[in-house]
Amino acid sequence: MRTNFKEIKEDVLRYYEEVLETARRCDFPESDTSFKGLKAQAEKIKEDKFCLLIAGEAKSGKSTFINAYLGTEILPMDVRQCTSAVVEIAYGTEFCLKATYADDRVITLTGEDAINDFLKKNAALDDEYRDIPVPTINNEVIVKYKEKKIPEAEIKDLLEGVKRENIHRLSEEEYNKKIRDYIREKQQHWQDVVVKIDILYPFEDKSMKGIRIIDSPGVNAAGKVGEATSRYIESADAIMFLRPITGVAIEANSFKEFLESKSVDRNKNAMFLVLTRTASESQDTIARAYEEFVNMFGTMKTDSRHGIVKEQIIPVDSKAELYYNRFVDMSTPDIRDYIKGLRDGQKAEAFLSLAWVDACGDKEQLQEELKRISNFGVIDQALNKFGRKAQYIALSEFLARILRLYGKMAVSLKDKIDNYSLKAEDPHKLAVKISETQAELTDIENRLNQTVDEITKKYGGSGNKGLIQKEAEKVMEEFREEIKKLDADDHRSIDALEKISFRKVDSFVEFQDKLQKNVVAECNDALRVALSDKTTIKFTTLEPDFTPEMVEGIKENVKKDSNERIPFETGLTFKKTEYRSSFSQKKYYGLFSNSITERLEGIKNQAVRELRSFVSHTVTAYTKELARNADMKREELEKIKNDKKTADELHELIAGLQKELSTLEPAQRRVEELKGGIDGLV
Amino acid sequence: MALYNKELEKQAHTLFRELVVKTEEIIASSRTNTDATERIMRLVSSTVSAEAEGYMIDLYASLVDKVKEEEFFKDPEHLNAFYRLNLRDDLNAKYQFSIDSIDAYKKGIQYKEINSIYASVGAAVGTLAVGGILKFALSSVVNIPFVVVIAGALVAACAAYFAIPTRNKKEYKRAVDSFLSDLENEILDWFVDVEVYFDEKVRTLYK
Repeated sequence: MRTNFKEIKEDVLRYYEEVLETARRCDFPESDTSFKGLKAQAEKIKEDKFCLLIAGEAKSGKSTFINAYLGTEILPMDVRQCTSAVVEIAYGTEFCLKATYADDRVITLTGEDAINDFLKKNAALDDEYRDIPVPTINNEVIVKYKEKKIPEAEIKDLLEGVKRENIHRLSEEEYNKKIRDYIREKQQHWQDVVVKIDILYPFEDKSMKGIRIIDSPGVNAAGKVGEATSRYIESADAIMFLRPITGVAIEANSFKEFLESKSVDRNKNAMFLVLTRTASESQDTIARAYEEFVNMFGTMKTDSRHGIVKEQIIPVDSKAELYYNRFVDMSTPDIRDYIKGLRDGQKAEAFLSLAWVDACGDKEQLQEELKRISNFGVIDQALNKFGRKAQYIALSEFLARILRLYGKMAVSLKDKIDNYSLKAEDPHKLAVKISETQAELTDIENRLNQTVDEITKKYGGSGNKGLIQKEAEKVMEEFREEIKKLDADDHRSIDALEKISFRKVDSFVEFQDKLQKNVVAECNDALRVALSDKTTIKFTTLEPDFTPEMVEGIKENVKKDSNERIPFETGLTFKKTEYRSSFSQKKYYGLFSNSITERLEGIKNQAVRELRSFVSHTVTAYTKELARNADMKREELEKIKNDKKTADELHELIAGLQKELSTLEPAQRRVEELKGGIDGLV
Repeated sequence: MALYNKELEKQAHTLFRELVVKTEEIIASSRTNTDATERIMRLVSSTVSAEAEGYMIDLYASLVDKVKEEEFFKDPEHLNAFYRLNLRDDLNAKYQFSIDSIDAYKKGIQYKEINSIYASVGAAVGTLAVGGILKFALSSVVNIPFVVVIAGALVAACAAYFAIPTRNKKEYKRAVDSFLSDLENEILDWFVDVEVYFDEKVRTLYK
């Protein structure tokens, strides 16, 4: 562990850069309050300023304490609720004051008298309103609403909220009336309310040069602070919470709640409970009260940031310290005269008179006694300790903030990892799904590209290559075989032929019907796809031009041509061959048979053509359906591929985040080690 | 340009040879050329239109086989792109083999009616030659059933003979043979067209 502050600070700032870089890599939001706080504190660390905030309930003697500590009575003390604005005191080469008003006006004053006058005037309250919590009223309604009408509900809320601040125990009616009167009167001059006072003072104690003291408007009885004070508490490096050692019940919640309030997100090292007004109490009372406070607030010292350790509870008396400061440059006779004047005016505190008597007129003894009573030596030690080690505390506090930020980043990273893990599908499963879907698509494409062609060829091929032609020829062949058996000379053969031909025509009708069904069945079977409702197969029924009337027509037609010239001889001596026309049953049958066969050939051709056309159109319908299926499958595949891509990306992202997360712990450990070393120095 | 699919060429030739034989029988057994023409028209148009459907299926199949042999289409992505062209559908639409085209045929072919449709198309095309009409019909500009074109072409080819039924069968037979020969050539040409069209479409995928 280094002990050189400069080197330690360099280490701390290096870790700060590291955490910034990590935050950037982790996409940690810059708007995060811890992050913003850290950045603000980093600036302060770089500037070496230590911010000490003095807090406490009204009447806890904050201003007196600050004056006593400063050794200069800058802040007005002779009024009860003097500070209604945040007062910031810091080292400056010249004593000056800058006041900011509610309407953003700023005035700057220099010179002790002018500054004192301003502070007194600003802080002093009319006697009329000294028993109501003016700072709270100013901050919560006057400054907030300015010239606008304050809603009644808001006033009621305020009245409810300040009930416990009725320290003079006025009747509720009177207390509320006073507050309403004050609001009515004060709102007219809202712009004159001072909201912030900056005082620069040339401290003699060099250790105070790097410290800013913030005197906050009172914390109310419930430990709550105004909005403005809350901001200072957030950024303060150390807080001294003041409360009278007696007079207020120890179990009063204000400090406890202040400790636990969200804005007091402090390092316990930097929190002090200063118990004031000890001078009027006996040693025994002080000791007892001190123990009680220690028991009350020191219990959680090791494991909770809300607890404070014994050494951080300091009983003091600011008045004794003030007297001490006043007497430093006075001669013994002057002190005597001064004390006498106080006694005569009945203004001398008992402890002062007693100390003066005990000192037997000896200034040194008196001063020694006053110092003992004030106990500011301890405060001095504590504050000097801060003076010396303020930077270490600040660094430790800063490292604690870095650790908190690492903690937050870890939580954020884990959240992101969990979130992405929830979203990220298993890439291996998706890969399997891709190959399955690809296989399904290939199958559809094969059916689309191969099977469709095969079915078409199988049925529709030309000549006897296709089933259609082949089957149709079979029917024709059967017809021919059947009519071969008929006797051309037999007149009954005409009827028989007619019957056969009608049967064959029916056969063609059935044949067409059957083959169409076969084609569709084969398509359904081999292509394994159901046609959507939109696609319908147009079945056709063979409508042959073959009717009994037509057959009768043929008969009549061919009958005309069925006569044969039959030769016969005339004359007895000179024979002469002559011809007569005679009906030939054989010729008649032949012509009729030819004509019917031609007709059937035509019907066969018609069936073949229609069936081939049917095949072409049917497979086209199936092709379209398959193509649609293929498209859908392709889309599905594309989607899964995209899902996989997303899943891969998410897994890559998760891996990156996990890697980042794994770097947090060592980084945190390094910061913790450094912080431990620094804490050891404090 | 020669047809790529030689087998198809052979098949078509066989078909037309059979038609020549069958038409000869019809001419021989018909009392008048008018009868013969009606019978031939029915035979030729129904046979050719039925077979043409089959040829288209064969033609498409053989063209697809050819595509699949190409190195470029060994890549499934490219093959898919080829099928995405939907050329089967395209050819069906372009070359008029729609179910609807059968309607006219089903209604029965009255050659006088056909003659008038054919003549009006012929006037539009500027020729009554079967090739011209066929190409025009297949160009998808007008929707004329394939069978009507064939029947019409035959009617046109034999038209001269209807008016003079006394002309001898030899002359008539020569006219029919000449028609069938033209028709065969035109159909083969048309297949070449189909191949060219198909090929052009396929080539677009190389770009």
